[in-house]
Amino acid sequence: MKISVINGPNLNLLGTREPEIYGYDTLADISGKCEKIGKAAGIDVVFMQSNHEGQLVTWIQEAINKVDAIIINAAAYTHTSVAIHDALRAYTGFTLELHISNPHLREPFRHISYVSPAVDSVVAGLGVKGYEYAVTLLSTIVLAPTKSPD
Amino acid sequence: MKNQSLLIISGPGLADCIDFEGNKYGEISPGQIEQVCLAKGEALGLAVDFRQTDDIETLFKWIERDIGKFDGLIINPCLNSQAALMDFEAYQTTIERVAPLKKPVIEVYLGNVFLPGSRLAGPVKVPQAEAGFICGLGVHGYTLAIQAIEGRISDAQ
Repeated sequence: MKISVINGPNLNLLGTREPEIYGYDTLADISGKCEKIGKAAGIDVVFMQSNHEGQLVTWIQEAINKVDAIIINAAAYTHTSVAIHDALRAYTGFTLELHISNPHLREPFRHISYVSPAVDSVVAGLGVKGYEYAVTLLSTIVLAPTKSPD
Repeated sequence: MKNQSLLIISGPGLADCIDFEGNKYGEISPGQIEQVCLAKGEALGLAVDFRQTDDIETLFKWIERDIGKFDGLIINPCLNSQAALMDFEAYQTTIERVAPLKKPVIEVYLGNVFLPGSRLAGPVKVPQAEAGFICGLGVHGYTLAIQAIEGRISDAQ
């Protein structure tokens, strides 16, 4: 089993960019914790990050029939990218849209998501720990449907 | 057992909400959601008060009157009635009123409210609220929210 965690623009600056909103953990810190969680469940967790929309689309396409679940934080492209929406609709595995902060509590231009209607689920505003929670949930429950709800 | 407590409120027509994608991860009833939440809270050392009402005014009253007595609130307002838009405005106003208390709040919807055809109201837009948002994970959305609030409480200590 494999989970791809796809991160969009400016998330390479985690830990230094507006830490009051996004926290002090770097993406490498988060990736390390999530890979450890996945390993314990026998699942490969692969983090990727790009500032380029086309690269994010390519990674989603490459996941088709090869990756069991995608966790995507498309960051600012969430609010603009029809291309990412279309790529996610072509992907048939489980999808979870993740945001560190809650976009619906921020500027109105962040209230629109082109990602949300194309995914199975949305998790927002749980801080950087949202990544760990999402990977734990997918590793232990969503990708293991024979287990009880908790 | 820690001394922290958590209020979980589900709104009108929880069973109807389950019908919209709520069974995606296996069939579940409102009573089973309560049992899952109580068990998760107990496992994390949180005292959980789980409530459900079909009366929207009762829902607002519980939020406003009781949030101060708890360390966090998880709310699934449902709000899929024909009067959902009006209810949603009142719901937002209620969240605005309690926002100054700075209690962690997580909205949980069983289904993905952003899917075409969803009649469920979306997330609140109250900038001053300490609110997270989860949808599309069925009953697991509740357990994820409990975990996240427990994490917030632990980090604050």
